[in-house]
Amino acid sequence: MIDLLPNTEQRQISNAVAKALSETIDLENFNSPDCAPGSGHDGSFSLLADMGMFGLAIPESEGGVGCSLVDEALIFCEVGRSLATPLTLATSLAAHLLSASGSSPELLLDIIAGKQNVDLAYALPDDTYYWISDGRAAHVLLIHPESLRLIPRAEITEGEMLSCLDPCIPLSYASVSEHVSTLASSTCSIMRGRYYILLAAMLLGIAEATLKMAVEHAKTREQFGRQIGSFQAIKHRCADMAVAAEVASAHLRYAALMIDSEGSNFDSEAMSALVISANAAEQNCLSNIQIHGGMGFTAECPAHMYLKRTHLLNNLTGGTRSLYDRILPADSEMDPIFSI
Amino acid sequence: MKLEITNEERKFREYAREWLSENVPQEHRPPRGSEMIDFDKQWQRSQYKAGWAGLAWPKEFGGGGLSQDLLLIWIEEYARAKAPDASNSLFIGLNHAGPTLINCGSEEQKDQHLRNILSGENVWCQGFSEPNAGSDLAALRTRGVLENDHLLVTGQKIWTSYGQYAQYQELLVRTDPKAPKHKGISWVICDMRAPGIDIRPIKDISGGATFCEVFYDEVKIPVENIVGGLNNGWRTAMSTLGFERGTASMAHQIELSRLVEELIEWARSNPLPGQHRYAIQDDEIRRRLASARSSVAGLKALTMLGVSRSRTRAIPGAEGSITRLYFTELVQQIYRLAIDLLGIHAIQLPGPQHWPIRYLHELRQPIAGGTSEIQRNIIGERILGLPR
Repeated sequence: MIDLLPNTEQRQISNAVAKALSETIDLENFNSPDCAPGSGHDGSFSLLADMGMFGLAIPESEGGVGCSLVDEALIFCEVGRSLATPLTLATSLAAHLLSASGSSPELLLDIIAGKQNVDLAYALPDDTYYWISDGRAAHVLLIHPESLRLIPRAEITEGEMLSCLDPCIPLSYASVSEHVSTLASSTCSIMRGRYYILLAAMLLGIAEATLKMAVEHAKTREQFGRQIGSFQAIKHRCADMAVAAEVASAHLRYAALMIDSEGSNFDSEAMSALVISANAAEQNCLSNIQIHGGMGFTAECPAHMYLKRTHLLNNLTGGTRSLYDRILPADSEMDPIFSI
Repeated sequence: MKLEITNEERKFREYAREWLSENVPQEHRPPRGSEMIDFDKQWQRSQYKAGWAGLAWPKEFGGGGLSQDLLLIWIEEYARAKAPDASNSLFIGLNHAGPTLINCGSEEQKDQHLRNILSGENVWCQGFSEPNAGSDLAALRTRGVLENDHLLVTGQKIWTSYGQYAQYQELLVRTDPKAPKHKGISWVICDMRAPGIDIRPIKDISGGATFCEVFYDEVKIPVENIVGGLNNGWRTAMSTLGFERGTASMAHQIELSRLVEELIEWARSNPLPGQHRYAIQDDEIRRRLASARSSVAGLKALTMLGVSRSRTRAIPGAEGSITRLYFTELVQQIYRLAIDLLGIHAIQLPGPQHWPIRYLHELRQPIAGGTSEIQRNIIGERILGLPR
């Protein structure tokens, strides 16, 4: 028997996290440098730590709560929805890397308690990185195509500061020394599966938030004497957004459940979940802007925030093109298992 | 939220797999004619005798009374065993007329018809749509005039699948032209052998002719054949809960999954026309295939979500429209990919692997059973709450 509906406890936790995040992160104020969502100073770190979210899926024996990947995914859906900093994802993954490797148990406890957070650096082919830093972290999660690695902050050298397409993201180039000391790393598909699922969850949150925003606008905005949502072009566009979000939601839960129960055979499901969520988020963000008309093109209207965050997140695994190449490699020797 | 396989499920799956492996007919279903109907009836009889007919029907009406989870397992094993497509000439009886009679029929009507539907004895067809009443079904005009102990029916129906082979028809007629359009309709059982019925098969774009126009010229239908009460036909028609509750999409998903893997297999060992490398090495084709792989996984998850919801809800919600819309767009996309793989060779019929003729046949999907436009309206209005 398979049940994809969250139980009462799961719903309560999701709602509590959603409420807390929405009260902490004010999209209206995102132009202010102090509380810009995603800057890491948006209050989401301490909030999530206080609620035990960084240790949610870490085994109890290591100081965590011992919950499942599904539970963690539900939380990251809220993180995505609220546009909280993606450094929360880096921090959670760092905790998993430390837990899996067994090294630095004290650092793991610090992370779970919210005393340490983690930056993110995405590897480029020429040994440089795009580095997202909130300026406070003592560790950096390096994202490579085949591995995740946790290194001390001292090992990364800041390069040129950049202006990110997502204005809430503090971005620069960086380089990492060749003989860097790694605190923990993983090349295994279960860890990559977790990474994909949590990223998919964030993108799902965005797909749902933009659907809701578009529908609300379609119900309130009036032209030609009626709500614009009564026009089929708008109504049908919203329907397509709803379909995209629903498939993404169903598949994320299904994939997370399969990975929890069967493990590594199902990183094919994780790849599909990410592709489906990534496409849903992008489609829904664009439709949301369109449905808002002229207002959708302003900086003041939050619609663009979701789109820009989506583009950032979509690229943290090489984008859908690279995911498709994993889902179906040209070489049949590398074909992942897809259950029919 | 959970995934667990109970002992009951494990045993049921083994039992189903074993029976299917021993009983699935090896011959292909004849594409037309009375041989096609005989094939369908024989397969149904075989399932009925072994207790596999009407698994979703309540036990008291001769069905299996199975839970959604077990039903899902049967459908999975059925598709894996490559059993004959359940969308055959008996589909309307098993999934529409039968359930409607269960919900709204009198004891006599149930006694007379249910067992014969389950055993495959009778083929049923549907007389709903008319040339002027498709998406706007309530605008139907076929007239049923009440005269003492019978209705006199005159009018026309269209898109009646298997009309030329059916013994019975679920027929919607206008019995009160003065009432508001939804309120003057009656649901009646029409004996297709009654005098005054003229059945004309319509040729479709894939070359088949399984659906028909049906003309009624003062056809006498006894009042005992009215189901759910005079002028209450609209409610009766809407009450068909479709006991399958979306598990039918499971069969579609497995077939589509299988087709995608077939396409991938083909692409690994064949070139695109005019090229000298395997089709899989063409980036665009390979990524479209990858997209198809992941999209079919999404359809499976949607089905599971529908089953999950059906456990707590007596009446299926409008979410079925989401699954339907997603499936119909996806199936077309995948068949389009199939004929793109074939290139110029798709100009033959039935064509390599029968992909070209199947591509033509699947063009009906976003139209039949509620057009995609209507599905989008349902999603927009009933799920999102947008104004009509």
